Amino acid sequence: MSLHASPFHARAAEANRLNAWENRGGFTLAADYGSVEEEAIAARFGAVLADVSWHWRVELSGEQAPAFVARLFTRDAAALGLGAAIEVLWLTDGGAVRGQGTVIRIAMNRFLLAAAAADAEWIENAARLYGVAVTNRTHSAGVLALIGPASGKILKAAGLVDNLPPLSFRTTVWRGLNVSLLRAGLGFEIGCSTDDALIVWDRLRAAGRSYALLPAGQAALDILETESGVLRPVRDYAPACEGFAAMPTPQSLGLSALVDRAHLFNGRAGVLAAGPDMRLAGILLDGDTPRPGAPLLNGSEPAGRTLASRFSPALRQTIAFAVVPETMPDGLLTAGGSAGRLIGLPFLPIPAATETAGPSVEVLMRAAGYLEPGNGD
Amino acid sequence: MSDVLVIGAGPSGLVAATYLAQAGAKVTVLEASAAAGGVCATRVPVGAYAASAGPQALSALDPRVIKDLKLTRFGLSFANRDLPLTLLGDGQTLTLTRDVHECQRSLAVTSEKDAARYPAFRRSHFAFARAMRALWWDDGTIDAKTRSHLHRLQVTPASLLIESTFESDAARGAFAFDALATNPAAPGSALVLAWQAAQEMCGLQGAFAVPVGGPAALVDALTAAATAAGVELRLNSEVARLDLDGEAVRGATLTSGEMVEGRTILSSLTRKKTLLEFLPPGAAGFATARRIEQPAKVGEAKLVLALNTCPTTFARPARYVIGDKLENASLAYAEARAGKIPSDLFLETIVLEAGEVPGVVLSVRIRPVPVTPTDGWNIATGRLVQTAVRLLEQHAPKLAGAVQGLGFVPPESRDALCLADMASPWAARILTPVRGLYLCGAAAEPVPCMSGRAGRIAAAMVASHLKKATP
Repeated sequence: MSLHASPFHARAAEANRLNAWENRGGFTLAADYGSVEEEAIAARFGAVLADVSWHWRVELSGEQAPAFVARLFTRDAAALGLGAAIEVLWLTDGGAVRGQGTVIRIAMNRFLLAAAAADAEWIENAARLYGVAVTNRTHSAGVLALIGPASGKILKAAGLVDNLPPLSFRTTVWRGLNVSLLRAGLGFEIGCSTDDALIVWDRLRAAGRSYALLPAGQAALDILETESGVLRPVRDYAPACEGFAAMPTPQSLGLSALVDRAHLFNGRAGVLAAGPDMRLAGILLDGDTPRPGAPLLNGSEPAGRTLASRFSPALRQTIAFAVVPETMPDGLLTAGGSAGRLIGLPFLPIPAATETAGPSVEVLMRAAGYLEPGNGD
Repeated sequence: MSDVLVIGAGPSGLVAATYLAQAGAKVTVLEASAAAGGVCATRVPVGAYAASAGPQALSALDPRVIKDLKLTRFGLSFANRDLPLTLLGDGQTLTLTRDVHECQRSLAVTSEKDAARYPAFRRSHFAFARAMRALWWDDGTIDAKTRSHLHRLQVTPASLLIESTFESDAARGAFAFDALATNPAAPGSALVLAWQAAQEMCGLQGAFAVPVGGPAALVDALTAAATAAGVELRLNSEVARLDLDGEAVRGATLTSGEMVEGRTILSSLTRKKTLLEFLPPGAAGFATARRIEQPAKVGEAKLVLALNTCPTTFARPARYVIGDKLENASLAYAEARAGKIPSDLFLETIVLEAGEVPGVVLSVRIRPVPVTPTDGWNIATGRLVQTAVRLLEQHAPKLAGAVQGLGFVPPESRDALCLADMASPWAARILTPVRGLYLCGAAAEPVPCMSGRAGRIAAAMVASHLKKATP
């Protein structure tokens, strides 16, 4: 596989002080710009700008596109209003998770699917049954994620919208440039043509200067997503590859919330016939990161398994996704030999959220020793 | 409203319908054409004679179907119960009959070693095939030893099996036609040979029997049995689509626009036709659609020749097989797959007594041929017929001069044969992703054929489901 430079590569190269690169989705991207921890923390207090151009984006268009997306995804994307978005899964015939992403209705018969892992052959073959065209937009656009509590203010300062509701999408002309805005995932995603990419980067950096906007690499993005309880296929779990596979089901990954059981979708029979619902939870661990799939023990009793894990600079602790029985209460467990505490997700609220449902960032940061008493009051 | 709709009044559909009607269900059969029988009812004009497009010799008709549906009482009888196989090779003729000693004598002409090995080969080949009947004849299981042998044969080329046993080209060539299977989508698998050996006609394992009156007589008997059981047969009722209620079937809409209600539907048509063409897109599952969208690219054509006299070569009743070496079958298959008429063809010829005019009819099955030739059948027919007649003439001189008329039946579109299906239980082939929709025809058989077994077993499954659903 040949590697592609992101449309923002020139700017990323200027900022990448340690020359730390990695490959995602066939793109060469900055792993970090000097300090993973600094970038992850900056997203909690100010804002960061991260290159997500590598996300797989396909447009599904045609007269039968609504019928197709209705059958393909586990929630009824055909019921979306224009400019609305929804988080979905798509499954094998046997009901196993093949992919996970965000679907946006961009016109009556046009939908955009954005996902962290590509599944082109499956979707193209399925689309053919409906006569729906699948157009890969991954290489024709640059996309930046703007994450952090200051992100809305930066967009306003830049002259872009500041009142975009969650899970919504719009296109606009921004001082002569055609850009798209999506509010999903951890914050805002600003899309533009590859030709305009560097201008968009520069404008956002300039608008964010007063808010200490930093570029963030992929490592910081992974940490932020894990802290926010965002599970990603391939990175955090192995999706099914074979078309009739029965595992992993959405239940086994604790992703039942992304499945509308009353809706008719591919693989529904497998989901309905599958075992009991599991709950996706988090574990705060005292020791090293356990291997994916490590068994969880409640005393000597099996109590589920871990998925991906990583170190959280904000919490100064190893955090891991865990799949546990729905009825399993939060509490002490062991995973891979390390003691841990099972808690509900997210570990930390999504950085862009202005009102948090989880524990306050300051409280957690203070508990982790990042903030002195009185600091930040 | 009927309890059960059966799509297609071919032999499989009629078998399924009759079993279900005998079990007490109200059954309606929807047939697109004006007569029951499917391919067996299609008449091919051959001069003044009309031959059936179906197989002239039956090799796989389920003995339980014959018995349960009392087909002999409804007129099914056989003119020949066990046709021997005669290979017409280069300057040598090899005949394999039921009599092992006779086979040995015939094999000894070219190889003493082949003659010596034949009894042990046949014994073990037939023994394994009989053990497989638990899986291929019934919804049963096979023991671990048989399963292990099954998996080994699945990935063993028939040529290897035959070559490791026999040394003469004649003995090897004698098995070539059957190794290409009823639907030669997977050429040369030894498992296909075993499947053929597992079949039984008239109580004889591996036999080929010729029904009196040809394949149409089988249809007549099945139709009479179905009618006697109370099956409603609706002719000229072509299904346009199946209607769904969520993930369950609720009826069929005919091309006339009429909606026929039915919560249980058995289709004797191909898997592709049933699940892709009749159902809304995606209803059968995306992976299923991907798997079945490509039909078999290679099939079998039929040539019917009306002759004024019977060539002496074909004087005795037999399945006359003409073909090159088995190893050439793979090359021929590859050519057919690419849409070309293969340079090496394999022919099976049976002599039919047509009556006064014409005196003799030769029914010739030709394998392997492309289902859709690159040039189209209008052009390819001429080339294929010429090649086949030339091949026949090599063994029956002046045959071309005796031809008074000919008819040609191109290969029908079929689902591709999947070798893995041969090791699957019946339920895996009969059940579909749509609740209430079942397959009961050649698509549900381990190897596509006219056995009626899929109809019998599908009917048993449906009857059991209906019984459970009845309060």
